[in-house]
Amino acid sequence: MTLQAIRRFYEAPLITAYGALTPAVPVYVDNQPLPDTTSLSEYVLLRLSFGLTTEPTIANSYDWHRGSLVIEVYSAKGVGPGRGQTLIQTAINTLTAMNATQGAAVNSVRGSIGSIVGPSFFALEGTPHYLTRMSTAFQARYTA
Amino acid sequence: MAKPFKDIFRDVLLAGAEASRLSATQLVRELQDASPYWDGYFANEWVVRQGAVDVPAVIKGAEPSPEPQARDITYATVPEPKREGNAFVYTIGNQMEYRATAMDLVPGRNAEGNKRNYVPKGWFETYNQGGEQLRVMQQATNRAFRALGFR
Repeated sequence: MTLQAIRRFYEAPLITAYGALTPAVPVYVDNQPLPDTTSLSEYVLLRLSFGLTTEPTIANSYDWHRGSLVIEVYSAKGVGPGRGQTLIQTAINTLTAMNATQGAAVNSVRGSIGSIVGPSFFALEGTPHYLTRMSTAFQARYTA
Repeated sequence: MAKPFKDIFRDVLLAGAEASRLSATQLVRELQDASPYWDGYFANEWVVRQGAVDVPAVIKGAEPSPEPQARDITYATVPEPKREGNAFVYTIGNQMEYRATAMDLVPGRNAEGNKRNYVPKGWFETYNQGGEQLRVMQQATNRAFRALGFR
């Protein structure tokens, strides 16, 4: 359960935060079927990737999961960056709040994020969407 | 044997330069090895420059792109370290026009279509932020300082 618990630690609060917006913004994670995105006015993609997951010592190695979390917000193109910024701010606020509570385990996971890179903005060709994107490093430990 | 105190500052400076050079060498190699590979342009157009400079994206790929090729990578050469203030600075970058797409910073790379040289989505950020970059720099720093007798 280690990897799934860590994935859940980062993804669940973001899904909850976007679901609590009015109107709610759908969030899709890795390996989840994506509907025809041209029919969606707004949506969010989360991509969590693991990098180094152990730390060797002389005696043995212990779990220390590190990786990257990419958040892509797709909003309407041609109306300026305001909506994309507002939506990405939800992710920034949610992730930043994690660092304030990293001493306490949630579902047996203690984790934090690194520096936030972005947001950066792209008017995509061939789609009706404007992309607002950020990424951050994470590190987490499964404590059960 | 203990080092004379007057030599320590000089040795720290030397070790800093060497750690930077070793880091740049290993980082660019690992980036080239981790890069998506179709016709070879992207993986072979990583460069290392002295100092904090821009690496312009000026090289176009082959048009039309050929079939996926077997990996054949020439590793980038690393110039001598250049001191900027109290640090030795290198810039590592890729020169391809489509580098942002190849690095998955903008959508559009068809990773699934390249079965011969598949590279997972988000490979660049996973490398940069998933601990690999830090590992390389720690190892390079250890090697450089130990080579000068630091323990």
